[in-house]
Amino acid sequence: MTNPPLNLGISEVQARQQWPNLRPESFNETSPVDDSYNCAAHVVDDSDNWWWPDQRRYHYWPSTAPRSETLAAFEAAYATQTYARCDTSDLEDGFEKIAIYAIDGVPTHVARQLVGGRWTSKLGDLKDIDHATLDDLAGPLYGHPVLFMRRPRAQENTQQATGTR
Amino acid sequence: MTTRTLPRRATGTRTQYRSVISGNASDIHGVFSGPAVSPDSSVVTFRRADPLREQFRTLADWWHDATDALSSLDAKAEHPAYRRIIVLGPSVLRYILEDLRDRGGHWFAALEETTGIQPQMPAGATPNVRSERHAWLAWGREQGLLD
Repeated sequence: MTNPPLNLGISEVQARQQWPNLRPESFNETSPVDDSYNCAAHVVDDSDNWWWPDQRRYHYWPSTAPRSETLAAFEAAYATQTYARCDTSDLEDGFEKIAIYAIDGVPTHVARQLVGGRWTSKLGDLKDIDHATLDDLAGPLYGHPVLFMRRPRAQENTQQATGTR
Repeated sequence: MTTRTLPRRATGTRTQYRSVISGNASDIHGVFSGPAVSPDSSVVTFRRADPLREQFRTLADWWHDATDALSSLDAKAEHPAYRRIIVLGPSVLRYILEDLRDRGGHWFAALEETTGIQPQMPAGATPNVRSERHAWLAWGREQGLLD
């Protein structure tokens, strides 16, 4: 029996290798493919910029944060957005959380928790999805979530049951 | 696009097309998009795909597939397919620009490395992926590399 396709904008073989835990029933597409912004921008609702501390300096990165692919740099970048480090990804009433994935300490991806506890992710140049768990995107491409941050959830966000942005 | 005219007997599968063509066969590693038969002709015209375009397309497909889900530009630009495209040099500029136009992606480092220039951003434009793409595509049209 063949698996239903993931339809994420890359080949099925590649998608299944990159996200071996992802199942069609565990996520929903919430945007078309758009290479104008990425996961790190998506978690702070910025769809006009690509956030990343690339050494070539093509992309946006908060000026007060180190421009290096380190967890410390990401923590500093999101501190500019009023996020502070926390211990877990568990849903906490009144707080919006983000999870930073890394491989060998090098950040690879950022996801943001939605009001109901699901997560929203922008997959690089590809689509936005909401997914049931952080483990859905764990694997050889993104590694695992290793750093969690939170900030008080804005009032308008708490009134949305399943908003994604 | 180069074309080649063959006797009508040259019909059949792609494999057969390859076997029929003689002469400079070493440059045939693309795919054929023909045959096209003209109604009043006794010949079949084969349109041979541009080998360099095919090589670019193979590398670009690999690169997109492997890195489109990544955010790190450094990881994208260090992918072996991307490096091999840069090695192909200015002869693939047109294909890079077409891919940027048609499929998007972070071709900016390759374009800069290949041309040695940075395109003029539109006045007042915020530097981001959209404006960078717009500037490169405008440059490509100015250079006659894009329609």
